[in-house]
Amino acid sequence: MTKKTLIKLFLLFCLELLIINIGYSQAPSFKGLEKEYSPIVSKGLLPEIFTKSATEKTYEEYQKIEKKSKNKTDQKQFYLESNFYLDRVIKSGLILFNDTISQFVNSVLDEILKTKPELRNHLKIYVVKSDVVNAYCFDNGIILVNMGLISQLENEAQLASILCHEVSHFTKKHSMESFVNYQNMRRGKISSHGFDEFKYSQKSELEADNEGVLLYKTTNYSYKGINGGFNLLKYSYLPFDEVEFKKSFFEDSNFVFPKDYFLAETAPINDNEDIDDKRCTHPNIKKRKESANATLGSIDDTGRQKFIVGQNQFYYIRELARFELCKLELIEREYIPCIYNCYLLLKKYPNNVYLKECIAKSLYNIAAVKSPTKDGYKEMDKLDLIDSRDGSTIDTDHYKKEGFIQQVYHLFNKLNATQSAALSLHFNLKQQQSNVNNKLFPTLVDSSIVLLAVNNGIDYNYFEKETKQNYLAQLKVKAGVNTDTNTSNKTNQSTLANLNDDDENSRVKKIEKENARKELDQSKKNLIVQEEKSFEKFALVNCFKKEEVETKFIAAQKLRDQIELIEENRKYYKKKKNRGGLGIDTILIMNPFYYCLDERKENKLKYISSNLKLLRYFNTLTYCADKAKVNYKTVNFNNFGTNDMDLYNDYVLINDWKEEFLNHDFNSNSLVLNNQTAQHIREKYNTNYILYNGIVNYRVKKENVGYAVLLTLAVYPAIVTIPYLLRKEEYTYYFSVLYNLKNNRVEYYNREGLKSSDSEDYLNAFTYNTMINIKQKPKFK
Amino acid sequence: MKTLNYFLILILTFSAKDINAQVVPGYLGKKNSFNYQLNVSPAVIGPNQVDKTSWFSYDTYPKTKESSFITPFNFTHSFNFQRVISRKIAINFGYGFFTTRQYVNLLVNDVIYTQNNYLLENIGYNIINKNFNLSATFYRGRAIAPFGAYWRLGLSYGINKTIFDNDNPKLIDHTEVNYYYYSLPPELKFNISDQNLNFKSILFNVTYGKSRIFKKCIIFNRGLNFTLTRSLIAASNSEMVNQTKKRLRGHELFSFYVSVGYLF
Repeated sequence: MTKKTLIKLFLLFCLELLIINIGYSQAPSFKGLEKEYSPIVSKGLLPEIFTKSATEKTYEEYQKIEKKSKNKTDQKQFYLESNFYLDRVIKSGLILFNDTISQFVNSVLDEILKTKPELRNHLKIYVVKSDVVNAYCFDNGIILVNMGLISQLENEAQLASILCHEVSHFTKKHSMESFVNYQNMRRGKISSHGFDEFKYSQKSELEADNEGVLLYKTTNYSYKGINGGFNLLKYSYLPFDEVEFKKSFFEDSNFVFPKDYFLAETAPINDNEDIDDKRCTHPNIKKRKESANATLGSIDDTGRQKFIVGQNQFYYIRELARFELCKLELIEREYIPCIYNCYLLLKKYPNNVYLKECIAKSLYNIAAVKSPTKDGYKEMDKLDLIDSRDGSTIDTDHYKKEGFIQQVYHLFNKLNATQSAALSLHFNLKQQQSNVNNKLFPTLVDSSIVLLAVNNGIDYNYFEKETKQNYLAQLKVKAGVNTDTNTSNKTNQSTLANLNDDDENSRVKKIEKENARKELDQSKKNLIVQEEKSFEKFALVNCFKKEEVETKFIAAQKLRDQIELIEENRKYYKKKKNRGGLGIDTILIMNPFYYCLDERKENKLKYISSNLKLLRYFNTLTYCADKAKVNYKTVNFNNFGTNDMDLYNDYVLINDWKEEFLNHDFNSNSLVLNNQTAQHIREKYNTNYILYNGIVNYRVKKENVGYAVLLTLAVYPAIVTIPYLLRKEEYTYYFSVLYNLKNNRVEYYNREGLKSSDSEDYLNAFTYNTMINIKQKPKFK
Repeated sequence: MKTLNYFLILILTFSAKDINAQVVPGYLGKKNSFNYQLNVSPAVIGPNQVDKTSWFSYDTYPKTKESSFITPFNFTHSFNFQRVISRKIAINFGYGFFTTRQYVNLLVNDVIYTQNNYLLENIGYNIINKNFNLSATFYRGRAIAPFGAYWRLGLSYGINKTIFDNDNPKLIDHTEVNYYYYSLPPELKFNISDQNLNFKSILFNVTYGKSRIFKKCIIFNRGLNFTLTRSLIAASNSEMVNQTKKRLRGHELFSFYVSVGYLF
């Protein structure tokens, strides 16, 4: 081979590589995500907004109010409410910072405001772990961008256009303006008819759009980003991509869904931009696009780019957001969107275990929700959009049921409890086979078997051992579909009763033929129905470790028999009552909550006093734990310093676990599947238990004050009436929940309520009671 | 008798420890308290006033040396020991005392000349009651003993003693028709101490109250108390005995109370 040919071949190879790269340049796959995915965590030092209390921030902002301002009270209230709302968002543990996504979003904002450094200094941008497609701006310059929004972006320019809109909200002080307007409207200072509240909001949004467009004009981002941003919002209710969901995803040669479990065609996606926006805070997309176009006027897109910070970086962070979205949907119990999103990502990353785990968890919990509980509770059907009561049709009016995702909704609406559990078992067995070292799949296999055997009353024998082909052949024989054998049997019979006229055209022959045909048709129909309805019977034909599955099934059947026996003899069976405590030595105390409300006032929640009392109450909590000799460790957000990043990340993990746990119905069969988180926390803090405490105190209007005053005049009743008149009419509620991270249970729950103030003795008494109940050893009687 | 009472209190206190079969938090682990209680009764029945014969009357009694009853209220003082035995129940042992005052007009027959009657007007005397109390406190609703609202049922054993202002009161002739004598025989003397007024009584009381705790160790109670008193004395025709029983019932029937104690 000559040098020239070698060079030619090399060039051809390079060209081919280039073509391949160009082909995938729109949505590259990332090597780091091929097999695993680790959820995103915040890094570095804790920002000031996390360490400074909301009270401090509020008092600082009070200084900004001009003394001669007309709406001084409203402005104060606004600062108070916005700071405490932000505080609540921060304490939810959903905010990310210094991570890859936040860094990228910050870089885009830097790029937008590179000519306005002063304005940039006023702004801080964070990413929120929420699947809702949204971004919002606070009056103090904090912009929050949801993970859901990032997962739906198509290019950097779209993100830039959305950020420009949010920056305009800040520069125009829209949040303050709308708050003051709302207050004035409520007081009747400005006219309010019908949906005027929305009109004011829409006006602000259009103004922010126009201002945002002007700001966008100063950047080098392509104008396509503006329209793209609006289109993104238009279709924000849909998944991040539209790919046909193929039923073969869950099937194998034996486990095949019936045809009617899949729709021939999914509902079309509504692309109407001019929707009725009378009751919307934002104007419809058509109006927004028109307004932005009018502001922009004639434009030239040459030299402008869709990506400035980095195309690859953008695709990478978007991919991270999409992976994160699956986790968020699991926590929110939105299992069907989770399955579809994982399906979309698996197209790119077919070996990613995290995605398979997400699907496995979703499948199990769908089956768990559909299955009846053994305690005789009604079927749990709290799953979003899954109606297990009729289990047949789906409501096509629902906005989420458009596009290819409708197919998944339809499938899971069709599946009954046994079929869902069989699907979960089938999928988890398949994954167990391909991921031998994984710990989750075997757990879910076991749980699915229990679900089938205990909750659905299915035995191992229910499942076919033969392949579907053999089974169908046997069915055909049973149903007598084979006409040859039928006729031969008949011809062999030569009794007088059956000896009819040989004439084929005789009426008797015709009747016989017609009846035989009908019988055959009916048998065929029955066969098809039987074949289709019992598809779940083939879940174990191709299964991995059949003997092990059989053993587990038999154990689960025994368990079912025991439970049934207990249920039958429930009235004779007395559970031993624990007269003692829980006997727990070490707990993890999380930051409590404290709400002081005054029902007599316009602004019911007393933010600052709640915050101050919260700080004091944490001391009470630790004091009582000390007194009761409970060993404890604390993760208290209110005490976090700049260097407490580890504690913050633990706090976030615990909050994620708690969120998923609380989204489950306590009586359902569902499992909290955020177990890896729990494992990490358990090992780090050397305890399985986390304690959440909280106080709600509210004051109400005192009744019968007039009578009390009159009675006071009669001297003797004064002994009762004077204390009554002096006393505040208050109610205080105390809450305490001890979660067990190991078995995902509420170990201790206590709710106390008294017509009393939230005095120190009240809090001490109940908190100490909780601690002593945790500490004291159990005493069964 | 006194020694027996003390023993009884001690035995019950320590036996309470064995009753403890469930979680007994107490208040921050403190289950015992010792307190002083003051019951104040508006004394609707038989007020303890030196001047008014009844609360709704303007008639007055003659002034005496007694000056302790300067208010229109009855007072009872008591010292109590309380021990929490479960989350909702506490037992109390108490020692209480009160002094109440009574005026009685007494008609006395001459022992020798039975036709003659003499009137002892406005005999003033103090009734001193000492009682030992055993009660159980049941904390209401979600309250945790010894904190919160409660009902208390108690039984007391009272010992009453009477002290007269004047053992030899002046007799005034009250004979309607005096045929034989024109003047009082100077030798006739009446010893009032002979009246049997030192009897025992049983008091059954029902209390509704609330307790608060300050500084983690000072317990403050307030509430209402109803007491039914049963005097352990045979039925008598004596006006003095009946009036004394009435006075005792009236003193304790209904009262407000406050108490301050130390929690340990």
